[in-house]
Amino acid sequence: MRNIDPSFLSKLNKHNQTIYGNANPKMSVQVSRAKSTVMDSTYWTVEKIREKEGLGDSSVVARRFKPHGPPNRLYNIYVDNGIVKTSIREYPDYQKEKWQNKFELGGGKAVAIAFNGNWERYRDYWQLVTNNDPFLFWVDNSGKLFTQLWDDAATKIELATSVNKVKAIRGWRNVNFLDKDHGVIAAYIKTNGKVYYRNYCSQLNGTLAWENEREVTEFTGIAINLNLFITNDYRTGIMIEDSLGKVYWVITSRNWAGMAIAPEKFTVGTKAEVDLIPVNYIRPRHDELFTIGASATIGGLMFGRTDNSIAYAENLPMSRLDEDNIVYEDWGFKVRLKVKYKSIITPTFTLTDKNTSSPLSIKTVTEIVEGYEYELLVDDTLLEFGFNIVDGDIMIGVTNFKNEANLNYDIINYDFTPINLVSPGGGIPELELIWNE
Amino acid sequence: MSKGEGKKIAIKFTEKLVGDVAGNSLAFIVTGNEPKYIGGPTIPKNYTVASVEYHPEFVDSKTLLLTMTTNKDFKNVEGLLKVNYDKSKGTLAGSAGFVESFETMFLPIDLEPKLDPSVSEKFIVTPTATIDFNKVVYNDRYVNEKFVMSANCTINFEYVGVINP
Repeated sequence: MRNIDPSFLSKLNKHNQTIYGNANPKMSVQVSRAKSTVMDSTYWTVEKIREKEGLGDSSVVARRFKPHGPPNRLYNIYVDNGIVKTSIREYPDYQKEKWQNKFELGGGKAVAIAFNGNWERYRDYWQLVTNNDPFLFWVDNSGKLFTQLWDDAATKIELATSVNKVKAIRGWRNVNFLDKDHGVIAAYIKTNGKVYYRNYCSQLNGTLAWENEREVTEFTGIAINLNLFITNDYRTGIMIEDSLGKVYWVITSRNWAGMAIAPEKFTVGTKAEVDLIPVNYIRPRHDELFTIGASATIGGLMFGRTDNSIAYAENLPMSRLDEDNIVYEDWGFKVRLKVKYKSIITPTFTLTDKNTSSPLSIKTVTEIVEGYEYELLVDDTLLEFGFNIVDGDIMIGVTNFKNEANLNYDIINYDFTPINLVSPGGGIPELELIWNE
Repeated sequence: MSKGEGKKIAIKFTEKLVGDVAGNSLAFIVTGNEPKYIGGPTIPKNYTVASVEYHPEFVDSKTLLLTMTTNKDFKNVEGLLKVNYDKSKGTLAGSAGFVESFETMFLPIDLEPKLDPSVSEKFIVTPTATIDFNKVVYNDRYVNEKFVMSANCTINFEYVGVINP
């Protein structure tokens, strides 16, 4: 909607609108609907929030209680001459109250704001239906990053120290899997120029918690600016500008399972046949009522490919002590492998001597890259020399692992040839004597 | 534990074994034949291995000791006892590689058989039941009612070898 020009409005408000009253009552109205807010910038409402000397960082977020229609309030956190302040604006602003100043949070240099909430699908589009109050993030003058839920000082906690800048966003949360939640993300640049983040997200036990600080190790430069974004294919990303003026993206994998495909509706009809057996009533007292019911249940319907394969597998060296307590590299205990498609649970692995079909017992399985890459350690209490005694290939078996639609992958059997093995020598034990005791 | 109970088998190998051998009980299958009862027909029997360990009396790591599961011993076996080892189920290995599957037979000695006497026994149990009748008041009675009562009896059979070894 656009405001009517004041001179035109005064002419419209005149009792008589004539040419002689300098009002030529003609109106040419063209009405069109924007294709989308992204493609047609004229659809946007541009509004000045405030204008004064000494304004610093500022961040705005919209509150929305329904997955359709406009938001119902805007929230703003900003730095005004070194003081962190807050304000709100009703939306729509029927009372013309404009931006109303609220409380202050003391001295600071950087701010951000973001709502937590739930994603709801409305006409094939996901919308964030927000909670009542937003998370505020601000960096005080000593470099400490704080957060609290709007004006509730009891929720104030310190997230990090030595911080220069902060940005925040609500990432995608998968509606089907509790542990697939990007959470409310506060990403920040520290004084060392590195980028870190903390996120407030669902835990496996159903609770929400701030997770530990993580560094964005994929970015190796000196960060100057950053911002956050989410994409329509269910990723969350960080955009970083380094000290050389180059801009980088760091982006998550798709948090898509169950989100990207609209739910389908199945109508299932039932056919019931009822045999009525005649009942002879002798001196009945009251009527009897027969009620017959039928029910059917259909589980969640999702699909993901169930074939998978091993991208690579190799044996790696491991430091061990020989009989003289001298450290040496032994290639007969550690196997690293990578599966092509992600598994949402740690698979069950087996190792087998291909030549003799003997099992090579595994002591530990370590996840190197979540869902993809694993490291297997052979049990040295059962196999003193590990798989140094193997002459030929080792077969890796992978079972009990699931795709992101929670379907079981097909079983994988994969052979690889271990390298740098050193046979301990000696002979293979054979039966010599047997007796009862 | 005496030799006559048929609970232990010792196996000696030509080379030293390496690593823990405790998880190999399922890799061994011990079978033989024994009379069904005194004077009865011979039937095949499986004797389950409960544990595998290095023989405590030999320090050369070449000898294993297999212990049978209780009540699955081979004291009644007649003739040869057969021992199978399946390498696909076991982890027995020497420094040069895994022990190959093998099957061997031997004649166990000094066993003390304790066969089923197969004398049929007859138990007569006379229960004593106490019945308390509660008075029932019938209002608007239509048909006669019939009460059927039953009693449960539990009998514990004790292993005769324990009472009269």
